Amino acid sequence: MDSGDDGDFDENQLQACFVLHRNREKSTGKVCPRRKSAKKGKNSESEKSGDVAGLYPIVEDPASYGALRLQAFKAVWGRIQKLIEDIVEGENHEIFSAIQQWICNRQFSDAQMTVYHTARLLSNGVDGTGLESSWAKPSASCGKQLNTALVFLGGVNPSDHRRTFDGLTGHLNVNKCHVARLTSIDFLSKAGLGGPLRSLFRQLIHIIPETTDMEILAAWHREVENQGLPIAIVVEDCESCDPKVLAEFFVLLSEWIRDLPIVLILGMATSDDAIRKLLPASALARLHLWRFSLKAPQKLLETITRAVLIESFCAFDLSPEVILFLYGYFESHDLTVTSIIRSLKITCAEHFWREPLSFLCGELLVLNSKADLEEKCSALPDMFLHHATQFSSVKGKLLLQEDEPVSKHMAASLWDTRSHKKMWKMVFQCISTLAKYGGISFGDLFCGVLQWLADSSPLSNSDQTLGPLEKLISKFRDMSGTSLRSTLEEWRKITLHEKELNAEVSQILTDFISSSTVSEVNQASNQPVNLRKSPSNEVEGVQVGVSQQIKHGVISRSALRRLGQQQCPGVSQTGLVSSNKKAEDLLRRLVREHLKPADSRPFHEIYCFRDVNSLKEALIGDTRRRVHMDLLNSHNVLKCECCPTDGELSSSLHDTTLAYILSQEYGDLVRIHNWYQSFAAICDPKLQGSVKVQEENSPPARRGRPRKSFDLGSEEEGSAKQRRGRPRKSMDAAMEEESEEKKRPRLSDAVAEENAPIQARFTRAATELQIVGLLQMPKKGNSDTVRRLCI
Amino acid sequence: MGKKSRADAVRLEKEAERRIAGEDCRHFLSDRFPGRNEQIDNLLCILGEPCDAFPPLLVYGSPATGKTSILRESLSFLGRPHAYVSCRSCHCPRLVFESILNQLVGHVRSRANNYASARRCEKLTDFVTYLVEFCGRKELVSTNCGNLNKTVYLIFDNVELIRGWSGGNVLISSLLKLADLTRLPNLGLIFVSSAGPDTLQLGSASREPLPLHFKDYSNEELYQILTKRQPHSELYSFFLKSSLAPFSRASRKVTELAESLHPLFLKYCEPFLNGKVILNDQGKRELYKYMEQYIQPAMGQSFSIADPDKGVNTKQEWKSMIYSRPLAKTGLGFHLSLCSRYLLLAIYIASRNPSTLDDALFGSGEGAKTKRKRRSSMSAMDRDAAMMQEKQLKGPSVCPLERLLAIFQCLAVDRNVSCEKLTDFKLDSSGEDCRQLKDVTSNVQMELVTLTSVNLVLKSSSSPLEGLPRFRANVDTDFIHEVARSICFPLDKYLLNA
Repeated sequence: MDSGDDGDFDENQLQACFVLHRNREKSTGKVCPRRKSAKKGKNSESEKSGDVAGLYPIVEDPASYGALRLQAFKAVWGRIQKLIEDIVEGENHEIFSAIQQWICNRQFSDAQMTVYHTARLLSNGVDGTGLESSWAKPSASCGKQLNTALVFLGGVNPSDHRRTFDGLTGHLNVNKCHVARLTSIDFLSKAGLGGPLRSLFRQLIHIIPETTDMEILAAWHREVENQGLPIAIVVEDCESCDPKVLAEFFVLLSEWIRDLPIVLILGMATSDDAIRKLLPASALARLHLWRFSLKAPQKLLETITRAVLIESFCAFDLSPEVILFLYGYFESHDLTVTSIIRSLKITCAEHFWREPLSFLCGELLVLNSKADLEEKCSALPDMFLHHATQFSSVKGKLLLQEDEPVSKHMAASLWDTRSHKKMWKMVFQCISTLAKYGGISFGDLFCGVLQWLADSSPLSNSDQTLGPLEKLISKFRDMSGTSLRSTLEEWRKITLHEKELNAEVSQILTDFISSSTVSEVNQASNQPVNLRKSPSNEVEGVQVGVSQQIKHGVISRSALRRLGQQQCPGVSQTGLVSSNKKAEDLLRRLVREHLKPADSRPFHEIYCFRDVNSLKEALIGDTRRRVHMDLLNSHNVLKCECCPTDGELSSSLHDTTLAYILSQEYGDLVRIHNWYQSFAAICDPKLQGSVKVQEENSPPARRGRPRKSFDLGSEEEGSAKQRRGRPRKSMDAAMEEESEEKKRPRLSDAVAEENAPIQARFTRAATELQIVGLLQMPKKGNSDTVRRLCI
Repeated sequence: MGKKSRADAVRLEKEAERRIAGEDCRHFLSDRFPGRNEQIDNLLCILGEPCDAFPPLLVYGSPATGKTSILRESLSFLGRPHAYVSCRSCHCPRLVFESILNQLVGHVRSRANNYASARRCEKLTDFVTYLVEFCGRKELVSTNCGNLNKTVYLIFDNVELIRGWSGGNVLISSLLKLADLTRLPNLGLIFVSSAGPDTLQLGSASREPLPLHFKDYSNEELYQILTKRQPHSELYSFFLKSSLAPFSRASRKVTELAESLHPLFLKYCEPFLNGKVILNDQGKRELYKYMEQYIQPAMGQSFSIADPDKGVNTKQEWKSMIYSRPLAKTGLGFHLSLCSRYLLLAIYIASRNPSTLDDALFGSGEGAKTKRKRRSSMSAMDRDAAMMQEKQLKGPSVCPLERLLAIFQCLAVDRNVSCEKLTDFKLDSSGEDCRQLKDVTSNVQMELVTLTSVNLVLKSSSSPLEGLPRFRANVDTDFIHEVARSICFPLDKYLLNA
């Protein structure tokens, strides 16, 4: 079946439904592999087009603006990606260096051991002649263990592991180490030891030798340029390897460590118990295990969130709902760097694809002054400006200031996102210092804050309750002096660039310090300014006595401490209370003023992505069964008028649906030729006559279900049929078929031209079915059938 | 023990050219290998003079009893020409053949010859032809004992592994007959194996090989060997006297013993190195008392993972080994997504409970659970106990994908309900997680594949009738309880006979 030109086949028939043709102009080119779902595709496509049309009815995007958007996407996404990758690299660098250092140390210590044993054997030797030195190798068992680094990868999800080992390989290569990477594909029980060894030789020696003799590796390592360099053999996914081959491989390597400085690096996805379960004791005894652990995925997520979503300005923002959804997704399904990058990229791409004005994000990222931005905005075509006025975030408000142009508002609002973001970051950091003392983890705090932001409606911003934050802020009330002080000191650091705020915090801090020191030491002489509640008199009296005693050097230090313990709480309490109150009020005010969701500001549509549904659709796929059901009942989904509702086949059905329904008539094996014939017959009734005879003659191939018969002869015949893949007919039928075959060349000359489009459509439908995983393409052995996977 | 590489063999051969009388050799070997005098005497007798005819010899005994080392060192010491091949390194017949030929010719692989061997030799017949050719040539070159030919020894190590190769048994018997096949009188065949002559199925061999057994070391011999390897011999011998007996009951392999005794010895030395104890009778008693508490945990430890920053056994580690069970640790040690945790729980429940119980557990009513309690007569209880025992012996059962996913969904929905009750600061948000879990999506199936790939779940051969994959949990009780604890899941409620 050649995939002929599909030039002139009917475009309208394809337009009727979009089963799997989501040829969106998605600038990323990276598509989530799990997102293929027929039903969702259809549903959301129609929904979305409705949405888009409702929101932005005027879009006739000139090509130049499309290019600008692509450019802006590249700039923004490039920035985010760089941030993430830098973080991951930084986090891994430490452990890579540790491994590299370890390899060096092991090599050195091995060399030392050799020298030591040589010396000892020589001194203990029989006569110390030249002959003795030849025996002076380290005794067999002490050098026999392979140095093995177990690298605990932190999570079972494999998508990050390759990236990690790429990094490790690069690091080791730079530091003069031969590295060979093996995966579970090399350790198949079928290939035995040949598999890993062959791969090893290919990577190290860059040849594919005829045999897999370790002597080859030894010979290669004896060469001048390789001499002395350690060989690191990485097994990326130990748990998935065939345990028998793995054990044999390790034993084999351990026999060669005297000649080759081999170290093993094993990637472990689970805990340290796994290696015990995997290897027999005989193999385990040959390994000297060392532990290296990568950073836990939660920590990594925390660092990335901090850097990307809170601390840096990328001119692109996510609404709290989106972030919460992503957090939930990471928590419940796939917490890997790959998944974080992928989902962020999807949000970014969706945003730039949807929003015509999103190219302004790119400008925002590069422009240095507000005036430039205003200039840019005013130069926008009217169409865009009108589009901007239709945003839900500005529609009601802008009416008040009709006299000023929209572009100016827009530029101002956009320009303010920088400072807004900065304040947001600052307030959040202030809260998180407080949370640190409350023992709340970063993830919980972040999600809690976002949940609160998502719940509170963005427009009514005054006098709302602070929700879960209220509980947190109220922690100030029963905070001890030392933690209050350190909290305030951290605040001072955080607010360093915000002068007013910084002054305020410093004021509270100095007040607190002065009050506490004053109350502790010179209570009697100086009445603190901010002590409004009167301290108890007897405490004062004791204080006076103590201070006098100190002056005279009478009292011992321990007694003083004891006294201090009794009295200071009482005394400093008042100073503390007022400072606590001040800090609490300050934070409360900051939260009210600055901690607002990203989608609460005017014109946020330009830089803020808030469509959770599209993200959900992209990230969470449907099962194959669902696709299968939807394809069979396409009418329920499409609700078109052209197709018959009673499940009958007609040419108006979409090709993929039609092909799939037709394939249901077969067993698990579908003969392509028959399948095509029935497909062609329905698509183009003109052809029906020419293929009719054939269709009758070849019943569907059913494998695995031979006809039950007590007659031995016929059963044999049945199995013979299966082997040949083409059932044998009665003599007459066979003759007829043969004559048909003879006729075909003549027929095909005439019909070939007509058939081409149908063939193309059929091929396309079959390929689509293969892509969604409902069909398996023909294999080597029997090339004329495809296998159905969902039965 | 020491299986020296082939490169070494060549070198040693050259170095040990001067001839030393058999007495010297005996003396040298027995000094190096304590407790092996009998075997060394036998071996030297069999080896005889350089030109003596040599019957096929089978050297056998447990691993790490000095078979290979003694054999190779005696041959090298006596300066006999030999080729050594280990069937472990050379894991197929072709490698065995080519390796022997390479050694006989003195061929060294290098980049210049593209790391090829001297001859391409895949079949036994080719091997025989080449062997005749090379050994004949060798005779011409190095005949130096009258008009007789010097015997060339071929050592096949780890012969028992050949049994696992395809056509292995045929190969073994043909190798035994090699002298007859080649008609070379000066071919000495030596087979080294950890399996005895009876297990090698040598029935069809024309000539039974001469067996030479290397028996396990006795305690006395082990003591001699281990003290020979240690520098602080006095302290070490005291240490061995008290600790060798319990350990040698578990294993008599020198390598294993040395490994497992080493950390204990470090512990033993501690008070001595700190200067708290001096080496006299009193001190020895104190040392023993001090060490006694560590013997038991050290024996229970099958392997240890060292930390590159710290030593192998820090104080903390010993303490935890002594005072608590090794598995009583907290946390899983790696990240599992929420979905994976629920999947694991679902599989665990499915493989522990019979499928008839599902309705009672996950159905709408809870009547069945209360009903079970009514039965309490002795016979019924006995029957239950017997059934439970049988179940335990059988291990976890497999369950089809459908049932697994159904249970998973039930658990996720249950969780959803319980989530709404909790109003902690954190759990405001985890409602979202649960909503994501409620539907079985392709992600869930992906997670299942991931769990299978890391062996937490085993995929058993699919049922031939239904054609669907079946799964089985491969985790222990402690682990699954840890998982359940981490997500506040009442696992015991769902397990029959928990």
